[in-house]
Amino acid sequence: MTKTLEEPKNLVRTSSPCLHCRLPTFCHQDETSVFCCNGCMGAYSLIHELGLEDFYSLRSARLPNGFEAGAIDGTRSSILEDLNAAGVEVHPMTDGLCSVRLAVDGLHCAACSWLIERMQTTIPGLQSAQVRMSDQTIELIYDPKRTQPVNVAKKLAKLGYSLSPWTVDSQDEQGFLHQQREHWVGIALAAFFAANAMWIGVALYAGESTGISAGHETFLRWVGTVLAVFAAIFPGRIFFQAAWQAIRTRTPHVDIPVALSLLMGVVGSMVGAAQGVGHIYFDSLASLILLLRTGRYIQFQAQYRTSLSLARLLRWNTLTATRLETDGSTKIVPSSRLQLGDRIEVRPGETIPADGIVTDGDSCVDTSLLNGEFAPASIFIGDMAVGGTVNISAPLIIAVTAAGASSRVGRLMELVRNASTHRTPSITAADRVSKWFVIVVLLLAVVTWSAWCYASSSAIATQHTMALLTIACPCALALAAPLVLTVALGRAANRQIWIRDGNCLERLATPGTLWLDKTGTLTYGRMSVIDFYGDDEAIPYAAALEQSVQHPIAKAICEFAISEQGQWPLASQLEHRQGKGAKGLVEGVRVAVGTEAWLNEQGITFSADWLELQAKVLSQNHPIVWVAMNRTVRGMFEMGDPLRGDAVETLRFLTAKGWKMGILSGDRQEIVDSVATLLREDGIALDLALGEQSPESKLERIRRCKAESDRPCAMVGDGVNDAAALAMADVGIAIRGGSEQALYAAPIFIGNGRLASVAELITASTRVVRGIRRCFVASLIYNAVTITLAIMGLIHPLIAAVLMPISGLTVLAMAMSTQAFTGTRSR
Amino acid sequence: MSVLYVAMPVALLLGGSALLACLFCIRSGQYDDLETPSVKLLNDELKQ
Repeated sequence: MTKTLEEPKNLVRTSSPCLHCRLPTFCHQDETSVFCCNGCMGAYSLIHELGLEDFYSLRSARLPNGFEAGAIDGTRSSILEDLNAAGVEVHPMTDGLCSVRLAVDGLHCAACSWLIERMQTTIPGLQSAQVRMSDQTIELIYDPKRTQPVNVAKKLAKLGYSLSPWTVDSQDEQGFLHQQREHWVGIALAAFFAANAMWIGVALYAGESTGISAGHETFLRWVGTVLAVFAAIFPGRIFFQAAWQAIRTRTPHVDIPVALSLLMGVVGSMVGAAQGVGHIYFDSLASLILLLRTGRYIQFQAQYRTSLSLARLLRWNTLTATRLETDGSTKIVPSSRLQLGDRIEVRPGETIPADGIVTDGDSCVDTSLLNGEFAPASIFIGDMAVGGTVNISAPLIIAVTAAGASSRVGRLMELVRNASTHRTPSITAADRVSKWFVIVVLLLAVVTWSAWCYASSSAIATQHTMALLTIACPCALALAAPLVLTVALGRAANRQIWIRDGNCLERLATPGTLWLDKTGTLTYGRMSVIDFYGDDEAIPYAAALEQSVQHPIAKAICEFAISEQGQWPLASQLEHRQGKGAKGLVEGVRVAVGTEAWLNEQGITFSADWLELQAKVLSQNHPIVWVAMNRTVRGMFEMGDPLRGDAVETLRFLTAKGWKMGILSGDRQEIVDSVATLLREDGIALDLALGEQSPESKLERIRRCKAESDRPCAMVGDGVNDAAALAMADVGIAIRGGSEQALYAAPIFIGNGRLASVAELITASTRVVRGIRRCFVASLIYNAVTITLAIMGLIHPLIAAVLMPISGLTVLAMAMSTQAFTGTRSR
Repeated sequence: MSVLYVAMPVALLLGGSALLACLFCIRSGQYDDLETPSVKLLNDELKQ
């Protein structure tokens, strides 16, 4: 077997990467076959059993930091047992076979599709498995008598790919395919007409210099004109239709000037052909249509790709619920199918799929996405469990009281929908300028024509007016802004910043007020050890106890111990109490880890020094975990939700750009205050640091902020509780790591989860606006000079025709060279 | 009569038939997925 395993960059010190997924493991470098988990080991041996080791040499060598492979919970795939209930369309085929289309998660590169398709031979009854990389789906053709999609799903889950119902509406998808084909047809037609018109044009130009018979010239002119008119009628039709729509609804639209210039081209070509003298226009008309259609296709692709990647991200969070049936068995159902009174089981680590009352179990839940509180809350029998929160430590049985639209999350989404309908589309500078430009040029044309008619003959007047209309190129103006934006959007997507609404990027160029969510946005949103006081020897002992405890604090202590010491001994006689602590025997030492009350229960007393230290830490609102060895206190962990590494840097940058920043958090006011005090130097305004904000009050705050000033009001957030505010803000930016609801709501979505990307966005925004302005200025100067010359009759139409594409190309080159989202870290 | 009056329509007809073939390919879905075929080509090569 050829291995091209490269060392991932962010390895934990002295550890070797997992053979299957390349994630760092706890094992040391000298061991060769190491795996990060049993899932990976299973996948690795399965791949070898099937003789598909080539997978490891096929996959691309530059996977950044391991890929999310390995143990995928196979139970999730049992949702495919009842295809009907899961909403999967099964298409029967003629020979008794069936075909289904399912979404695949975990596809990374060519090797994945290769592996999945080779799997097909190992499942009897599976006729074919075709992976489509473009939308990350798989089409299974199978014999329903011999196998079912769920078997395929279970096998693939072992390899780390999970199959789920393909959520994009098949009608939407058909619509997309149809539109894409229409675009291709349009481009093919336009290219045909343009190429032919061009060579006829070349013949005429050549004829002009070397001589051509009048009969041939007229013939060529007419053929070329007919081709160009066809080009305007068939592939160019969409511009006239869009312009007509815009005129009827009285909205400014870039297609109006485009349609006008096409119309001028058609009239110019006809007049030229009829008169048989003067310059020809049909070649530039046909090639203009080709360029425009190509531009539209690129824009369409960019938009579709964005919406597709979002759909894919949202699918990761497709919720399923484990329903307890009356006969005691369990069944996996989509959470949208839950009904009032259903009893559901929620295992540790799962998201609670609906609102309900806990009827069995004793656990704690992470509610940070819903209300921004990062410390987990305990939950017991009889308590209300809210959908969207995450169960942490122990299984829970919940009787559903509200699911779907009537649940808390459902009602919040209603708020989001209302908020997004209130957003008014902003008219961009490009639209305004183009509109005036067309009016001015048309007026000038009328004036020029009448003036030259008066001064000399109508033939001369027509010639000069044609030169004017040809040379005045509104298309360069109309194309500049969308082009600059499209280029920027594409580059942003490469950095995992998805922008659904290009205008938002333009809005960010003017500094205004920026509201930040705290938990998950300014901070990591998870428990970590901030500091350890006391004897370092105690750390591995504490980790030994905490390793077996399912609690964020326990996990944080283990992570801290890995980074400090690496390894720890085994613990025995473990005892653990929910919400308090754990105790046990480690290498013959009695160790207790937990709260002050827990240690007091063990009869351990604290010295005055410790109590003093405790008071100091508690004043910062950080939870404390104590470690005692042999009934003596040996150390103290200061826990907390640390600021993101890039938070300070980003805030400083934004302050320098003139943004005013505030915090909108659902967490307790004193915690928000302590974070705000920490960041006061970096630009957070203390009076704008607001805690205990419900989703509704966040929304209200954004609405007030928008009403108060003309400057943009932006919001950065990650949770369900931010969603409505994100939708209401002028620019809503969602950060990955939070909830799908936030993604629905925000027009900009940062997929790499880095706060520094907000700074990148602002930089890019300034550059985009500057780029558009530069294109405008260049285009206007060009137009002003040449139009003046044309009005004075100094420009021959032939020169005008040469100059027009040059100006267009200049704008194109300027747009492409806009430095948005380039360089390693744009500043 | 000049040969141009015959040659030009013939040339356009030839070009037009190629265009029709292209339109047929597009409408039959050959251009729907431009990513996977390229990836698969590579795979088979590596397999040998």
